[in-house]
Amino acid sequence: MARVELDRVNKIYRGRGIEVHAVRDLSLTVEDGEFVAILGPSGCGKTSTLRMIVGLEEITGGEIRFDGRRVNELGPEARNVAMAFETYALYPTFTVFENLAFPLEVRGFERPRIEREVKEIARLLEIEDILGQKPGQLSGGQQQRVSLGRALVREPAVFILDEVMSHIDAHLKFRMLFELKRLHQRLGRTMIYVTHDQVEALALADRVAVMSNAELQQFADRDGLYNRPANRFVADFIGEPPTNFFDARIEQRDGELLLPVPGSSLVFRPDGERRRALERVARAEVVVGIRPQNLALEPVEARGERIEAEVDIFEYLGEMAILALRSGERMFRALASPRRRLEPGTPVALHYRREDVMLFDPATGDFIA
Amino acid sequence: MSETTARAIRFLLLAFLGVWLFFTLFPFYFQLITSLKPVAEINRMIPTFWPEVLVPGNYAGIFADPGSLKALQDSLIVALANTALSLFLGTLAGYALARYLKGPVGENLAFWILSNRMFPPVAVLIPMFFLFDNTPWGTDSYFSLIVLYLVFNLPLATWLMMVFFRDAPVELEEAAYVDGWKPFQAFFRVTLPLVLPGMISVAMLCFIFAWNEYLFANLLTGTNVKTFPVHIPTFTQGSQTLWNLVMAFSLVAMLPPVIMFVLLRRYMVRGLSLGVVKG
Amino acid sequence: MALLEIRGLCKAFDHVVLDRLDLDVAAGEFFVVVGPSGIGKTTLLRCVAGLETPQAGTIRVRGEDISALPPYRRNVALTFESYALYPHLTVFENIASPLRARRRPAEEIRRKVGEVARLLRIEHILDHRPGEISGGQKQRTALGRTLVRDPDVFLLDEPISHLDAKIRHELREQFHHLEELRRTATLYVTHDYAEALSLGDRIGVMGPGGLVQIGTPEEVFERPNSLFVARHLGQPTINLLPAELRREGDRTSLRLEGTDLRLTLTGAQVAALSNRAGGRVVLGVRPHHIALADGALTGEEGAVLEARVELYEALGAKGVLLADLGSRKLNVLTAPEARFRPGETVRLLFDRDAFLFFCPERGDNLIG
Repeated sequence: MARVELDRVNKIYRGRGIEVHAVRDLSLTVEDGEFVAILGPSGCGKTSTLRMIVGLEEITGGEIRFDGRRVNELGPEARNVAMAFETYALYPTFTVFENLAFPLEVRGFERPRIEREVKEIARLLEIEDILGQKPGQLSGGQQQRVSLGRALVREPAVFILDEVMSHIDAHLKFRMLFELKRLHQRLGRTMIYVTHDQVEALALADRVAVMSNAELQQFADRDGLYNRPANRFVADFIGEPPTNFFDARIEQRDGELLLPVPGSSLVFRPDGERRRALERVARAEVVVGIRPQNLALEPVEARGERIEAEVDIFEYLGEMAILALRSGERMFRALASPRRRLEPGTPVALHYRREDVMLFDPATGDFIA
Repeated sequence: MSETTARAIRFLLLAFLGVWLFFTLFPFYFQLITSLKPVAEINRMIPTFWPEVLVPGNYAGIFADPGSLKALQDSLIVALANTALSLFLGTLAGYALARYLKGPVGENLAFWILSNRMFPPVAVLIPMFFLFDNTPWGTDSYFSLIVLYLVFNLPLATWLMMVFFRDAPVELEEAAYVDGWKPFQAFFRVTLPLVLPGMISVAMLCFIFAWNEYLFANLLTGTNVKTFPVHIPTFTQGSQTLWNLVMAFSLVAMLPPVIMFVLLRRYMVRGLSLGVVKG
Repeated sequence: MALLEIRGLCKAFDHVVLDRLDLDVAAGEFFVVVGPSGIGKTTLLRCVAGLETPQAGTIRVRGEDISALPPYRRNVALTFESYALYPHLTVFENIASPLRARRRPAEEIRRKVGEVARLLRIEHILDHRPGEISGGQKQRTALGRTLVRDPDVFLLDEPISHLDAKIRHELREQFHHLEELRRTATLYVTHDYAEALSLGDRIGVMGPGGLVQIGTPEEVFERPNSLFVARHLGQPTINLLPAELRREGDRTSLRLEGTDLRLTLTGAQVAALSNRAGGRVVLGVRPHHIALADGALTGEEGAVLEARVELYEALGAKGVLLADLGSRKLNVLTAPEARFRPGETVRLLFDRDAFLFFCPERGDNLIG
């Protein structure tokens, strides 16, 4: 059990004449028993962060604390951190039992105790029936559970998972995510999950730390990331299909604030809260963001607003459909019901609620309201 | 690991490297200074490690003998011709083994080819002598040495080229067929460039062997053809070996392989990173 | 007449991969083959391209039998799942390769490669080598090498599966727009059902040995002909509940095995299943055909079941609820803003019109 604190952590790789700032002033706290995901595109610094927490990488600046105790100088063996790898890293010549027993044998435990603890973990992960088999005979999902088991059997203070789902087939992944989440609920251990896949991160974690360009962009739960993204990067990165962005002008017309999009007939109307925020920043232009699932073909509610566009592509996806839409030279996307196919060129009205309009600073990309 | 242990390990590694460098570089140094000493200084009981007199004229001395230049020329002809033949035959055979002879048959054949290298060279010496004696060119000819060295270089070239071809993805050739290239065109346009770095490494190995070989050259040739290793022992004055000239000549003889290596090094190193298809 | 005509195609390695496969792709048609990995989709493409020799069967293009031709004499374009870009050639030369093989004049090559590069937005990397460009750019280069030609058939093998979600969206839309692909026949292979549904004019679901079902995306997704097809399409996977038909008076209901729960059926379903009354069926319900019933619902009696929330995940555009029916668990798709706590009781409203019934032994669709 542990609470993990990162306090203005920096990682700088120095080479011949080049200096790479891989992690910049990263501060975040993982509460005891919390499940936190570190999410970001490749090269964002998430792997360096993970390696510093585990103790595989020197910390260039700042401090990492476990339960308030500084661990910067401790090696991985002294930090009591367990890690499950993307590649499972199982010993191929050992049986599942021997793989699970290995970390205990290293610590010189007695045979009866080893057997007892391995059995317990195997029961928890429902792999009791494959203890005698070798990794080569197992399915991907089973291998992953064994790899998790080997990390768990040590009873670590912090449990770190590095892209463990990326090799699992799509249709199995869903079940594995559910199982991992349930496992966390049963164990109540502190878990840190590193991934580039937003679906995994949002499904598993209590809170998600979104990283980009070596910096923490936002550390929040799903609602925070969805409804109050810290900046344009987060709004774009989180959500599928990706958020629509429009460069809009700010205009006053008949006492109302309008956000027309040049090059198209689109005009967005923000609600009062957003309007006041816009007045505070006093700019002539703004970036409007709206998520495809917040644009509906049917009126959403009495006060819903509408925009008009033309269907460019109707993408039937079974459970739902994605509409690629066009207004003038602007392209954007909306979600639709799969029941009725819309031919390209069909004019449609799309309804949205004023509070679902997100506004970003065109220069800095920061969230305005 | 703490900072001090890390530093200690780094120091230890550097110390080992230093010792190793001394052992590998000292002979070259000694060769160089010997080549610049007068005979009298060489014959001293306690060798000098810093020459007292420098005699650059030793280098002019070796070429006073017209045989020296001829020896280098003969070596170059034999080594280049043998390298070209080894590479040509080895590449074609290696490709066939890699692509068309998969499974146990190809595996065994490839191993058998390589096992030719395990043969003690002396065992074939006498038969080879009679064999070449019955060719129109006789034993003392370019032909005999060029063909004889194939016995040693061809198995190595074939084996290595097979390994390189196996590493070159078949899919790239298939992509070329689908693009409309016929098999030979696909081989030259796509496959060969992929194994080029490997071919250069193989060429270097073949060249060095053929360049330095002494035993067979000494026994089969010596009058019509005389490669430089056979020429070196002729630097004598009565019963006295002129070590300074021997060293000077061997330094000169080292130059062609070294120059080749320096020129081709960057192609050799690049080899391993090129085979990537996806990533 | 179909442009591409495959008849009785058989291919086996150490086991049978394709067993008497028949397939027609019309001119201008975009046909998608979808199926689990390792089932033989790539083998099918490789047979058409001439990279594999089938044991039996014929492949005709515009009526002409090409089965015996080597790959370089067939006018088919193939993209490889691994992209198979020539690492020693620039992007320009990679794309130009099929034209150079046909000895086209340099001026034409420059023009055509330029056009394709503009279309795929890779003009700025034409001088780069494959090792220096991103995955999405490699994919576009591989696609460019295919599009630059004027083939009889396009064969595309998992062209976008290895890319990030965002680029996949973008490229899927691009496939919809590519006129080149609509001029001739395209055979597209993927393991991602969403890609198949989105792109295919028709799709074929591949199972062991060959195509299990062929139809429009709507047909295959909404009226799967077998459990195999139903299971392979959809995320989360379709709920499959063993059930028993019970006739009580004039009402026929469906009792879910291992529970006391009953669902009543529509008249049409009862009529269609009449010969199986008393028999066992597997009920298939897609997660998006189960809604959450709020408040007091009347008139929908027999379509509502109570369940306990086991887990709930909001996953972007939708939420997934794992509901516990006692001995059975159900996946339910919800709106993303819904909130549930584990242990909470919910009422599930089933869309009875969307029910699917499968034979528990043979797995075929009993009504479709």
